[in-house]
Amino acid sequence: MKKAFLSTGLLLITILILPLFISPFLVYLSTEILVFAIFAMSLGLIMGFGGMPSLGHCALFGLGAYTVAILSEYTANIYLLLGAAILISLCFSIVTGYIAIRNKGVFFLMITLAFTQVLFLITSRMKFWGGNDGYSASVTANFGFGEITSNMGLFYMMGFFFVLSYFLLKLFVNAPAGKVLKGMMENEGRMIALGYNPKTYKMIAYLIAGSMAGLAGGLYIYKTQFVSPALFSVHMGAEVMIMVFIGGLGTVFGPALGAGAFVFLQNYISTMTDRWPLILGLLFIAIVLLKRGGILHLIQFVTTFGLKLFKPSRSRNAPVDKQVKGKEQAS
Amino acid sequence: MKKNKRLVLAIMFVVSMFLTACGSGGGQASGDGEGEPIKLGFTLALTGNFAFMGEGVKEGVELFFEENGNKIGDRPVELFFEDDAGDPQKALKNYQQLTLNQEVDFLGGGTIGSISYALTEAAEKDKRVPIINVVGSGNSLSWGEKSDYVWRIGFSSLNYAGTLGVDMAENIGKKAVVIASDYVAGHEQATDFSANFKEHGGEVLDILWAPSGTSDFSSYINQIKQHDADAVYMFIPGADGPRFVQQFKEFGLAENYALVDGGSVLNAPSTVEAVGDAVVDGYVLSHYHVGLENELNKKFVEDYTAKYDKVPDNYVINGYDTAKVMSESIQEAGSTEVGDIIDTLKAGLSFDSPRGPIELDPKTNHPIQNHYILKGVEKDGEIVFELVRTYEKVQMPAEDPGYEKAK
Amino acid sequence: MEFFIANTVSGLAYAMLLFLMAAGLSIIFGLMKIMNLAHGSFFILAGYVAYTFSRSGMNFWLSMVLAVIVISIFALIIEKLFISRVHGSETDQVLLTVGLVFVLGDLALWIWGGNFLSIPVPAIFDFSLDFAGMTFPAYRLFVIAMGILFAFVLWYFEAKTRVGMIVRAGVDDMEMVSALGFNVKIIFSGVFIFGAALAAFGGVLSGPILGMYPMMEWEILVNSMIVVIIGGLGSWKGAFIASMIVGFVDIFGRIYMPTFAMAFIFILMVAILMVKPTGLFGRVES
Repeated sequence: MKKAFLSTGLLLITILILPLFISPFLVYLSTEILVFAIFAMSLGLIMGFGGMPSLGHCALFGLGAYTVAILSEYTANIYLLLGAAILISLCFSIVTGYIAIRNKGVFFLMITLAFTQVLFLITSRMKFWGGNDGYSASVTANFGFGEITSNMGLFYMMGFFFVLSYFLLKLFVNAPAGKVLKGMMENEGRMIALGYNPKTYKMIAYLIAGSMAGLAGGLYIYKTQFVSPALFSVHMGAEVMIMVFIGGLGTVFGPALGAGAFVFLQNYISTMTDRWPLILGLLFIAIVLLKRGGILHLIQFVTTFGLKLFKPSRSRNAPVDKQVKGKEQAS
Repeated sequence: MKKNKRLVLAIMFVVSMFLTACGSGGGQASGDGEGEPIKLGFTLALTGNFAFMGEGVKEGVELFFEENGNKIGDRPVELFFEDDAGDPQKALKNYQQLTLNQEVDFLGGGTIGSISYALTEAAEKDKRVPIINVVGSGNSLSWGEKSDYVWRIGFSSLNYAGTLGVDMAENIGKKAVVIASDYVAGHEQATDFSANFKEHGGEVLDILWAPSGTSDFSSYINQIKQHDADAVYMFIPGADGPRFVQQFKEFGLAENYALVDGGSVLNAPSTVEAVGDAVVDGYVLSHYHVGLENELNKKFVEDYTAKYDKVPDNYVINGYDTAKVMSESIQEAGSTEVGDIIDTLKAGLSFDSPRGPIELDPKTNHPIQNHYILKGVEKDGEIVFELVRTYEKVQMPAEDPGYEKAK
Repeated sequence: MEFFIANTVSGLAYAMLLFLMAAGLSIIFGLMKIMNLAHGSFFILAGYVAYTFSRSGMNFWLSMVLAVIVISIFALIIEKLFISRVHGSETDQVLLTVGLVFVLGDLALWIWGGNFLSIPVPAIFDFSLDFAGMTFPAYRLFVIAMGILFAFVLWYFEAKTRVGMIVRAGVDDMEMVSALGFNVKIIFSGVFIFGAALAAFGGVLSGPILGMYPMMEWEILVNSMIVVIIGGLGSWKGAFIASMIVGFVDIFGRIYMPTFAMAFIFILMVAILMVKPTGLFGRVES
């Protein structure tokens, strides 16, 4: 618990000082990274802690985005709009979760993907809200203390929601329910024998992830002012999945790192070459064939290794004990 | 405790990542002096469904600057092409990157309508850079949503559909069925066509709306067959269009109805190749035609064919003229300041293009240009389009004529 | 009535293409428990390859045979190189096959460009039949015939042959089949190639009707997935019936309620899954 507060505090400070060091375009890009970080963390929860791979997670993001874009015609109240985005995504999660969670693995994946694709087809073929062309919304964030219009303001707004989401997720995975969930992924039989109902816990995680993705989608509109069916495309679903993987599956912060790395890579590689999809595809294949963990795993590995190097013999006995305990707590 | 250290390090890693990126990206100083390159940025659909449009524009731009020694005046030109895959979200990101990071002096983009609208909104808000809208044909970009910062080089729905409405009623047939894609541009085209067609004595028997992404048009074709019409007016962009043309022929409609395309598919040589003899006897309107007899066009076609080994289409000419407008307006303004370029454009710019004379009308930010009616014919075993009629100096009205919306 | 018949024929032709798309996917999953998201890529690549052959002057039928062979060999390579390494891990399968879709799609864009391409209708079917005021393009009738023929062949193969028996047993319990001494590796490769060949055949067949263009592989994939989910994984009969349902709902939905045709299919899918989580004819337990 203490750790959750500490890491959240550190994250908050980083977000606060970051814009002082980076160029205006990077502030703009980082705003996008923060939104995708929330989105990727939500998928990271169901994939890394619930064992539910979903290529259709973008449905919830897209629904959140469409909700804010459409309702912004009627109200400018950001609390209402974001609330509605979360609510709609939550409702959709309940329906799809109810059907999909009865199935595992690939079945789960196919069903969530099919739902997402149907949303894609409906939004792209319906002429309300722009159809394939998308729908442009004019929304300005105002939490009651002035309008947020500058790129910098948006950065801090997304930063706030990012830190909040991180904190809540951290609380959840450390809570008893989160531990049961992870235990279920590792050994479902044992947990059932212990009297836990796997579907309930999976559903809880799915609903949390769904609401969070909806929130991310809603926030996204404040940055882009525009929605289009591309939000529901398989590309989007695959991209967020790769964020989770390159960041680190099974961690809370990993997917956020992955989002950062991905958006950067995409931005710079696509400037250099038109063959970005090819590179992206090869990246997917490489990750699978090399069977490597994500960036966070790498950092953890390097730092563990580094720490060992730096203090080779100092008080060897006591810390080892602590380390083991720490690990137990973490899992 | 150890976990904390890892986390701190992880966060430091992120920060350092940002800092490195900023070091490489943010350090460029903008220059406006002599000999400094002029930076031109483009966000185009270079992958995905609309890649053929973006590619054409890119080729046109590159051809123009190759012909002109990669220079505007005596300053070298640096070109930046970014891919938006036809997605407005990506286009907006490219816009931010090109204007904030590369700090381009002039921007081209808008391969599809929704991107033109998105870019126009952003340009009007930021007032950072002048933009040439390379393809986007939405009417309101010349009216209600017009921005001083965005100028169109392509065509408008009203110009295309309206001219065809007049021409069809006068020369092709008085009874028509309309089939259009069920989205903004489709509705705009159907409305503009029907209004002009009716004004000149035509009668629209039915309007069919096909959702974009339709692969099998047989149900629409069966509906068309229930009408005793002279012609079918179609506006179906993207990959759906060629499929419709093909199925139109497959179901034997080509024998009984004249097919008239509102400039959505048939004007691209590649499409003609894909659908083959299905385009024979079909009509299409275009603001460019490969066979135009003027010196500029001869050289243009020659150079393009030499470089790319194919014949240029509308998108290539749009790209070519985009580059021309950028070059002309910067030279005339004698500066790359946004305000100066806009003032030059607002004073009115006219020049000769391979497509014929062009005048950029400051009332609508839209080119006054010739429109050509083309007809598909088979000539020595090859299928080509022939110029049958020319409408000279077609203009965009300064205000919305307020036609009754087609349903 | 004529209107109805004409559209029924159109719906049938579309349904048969859906069937060919989905049958391979269904059986690959049913037997190998492999989620091959690159299935749509085989479909569209076959179209592109056949296009290249036919452009070089070959007739439709030869191009079709060659394209199916090329894609089958290609599928064998993919199976040996990649797919065989990800048995058992669903997330790996998904990542890997999505990666393949991106790579193959971008390569296709590189080689064949972003334009809409289409294979010309074979000369002997390049006419239409007029009957009681209706027009039936001969090629579509041919597609319907091919679809029904293949459905019959698959049924015969599954129900009456020894290989079919092994496949049927394998869908239910692969371990048992391997315990009985059959070489699982060969069965897997065989089924994977057969599924890919079916998709390739469908891809070439649809070339003159649907054509080929970038990103089409996703449309194909999603359509086949909906068919497979409704019909039930691992069942050809299910794939056939679900194709018909989706084909007809699509055609008639488009005439009477154009905007909501897709929503109908969606509601149908939800309803079926509510009642029967494995789909109409699914035997695979989840």
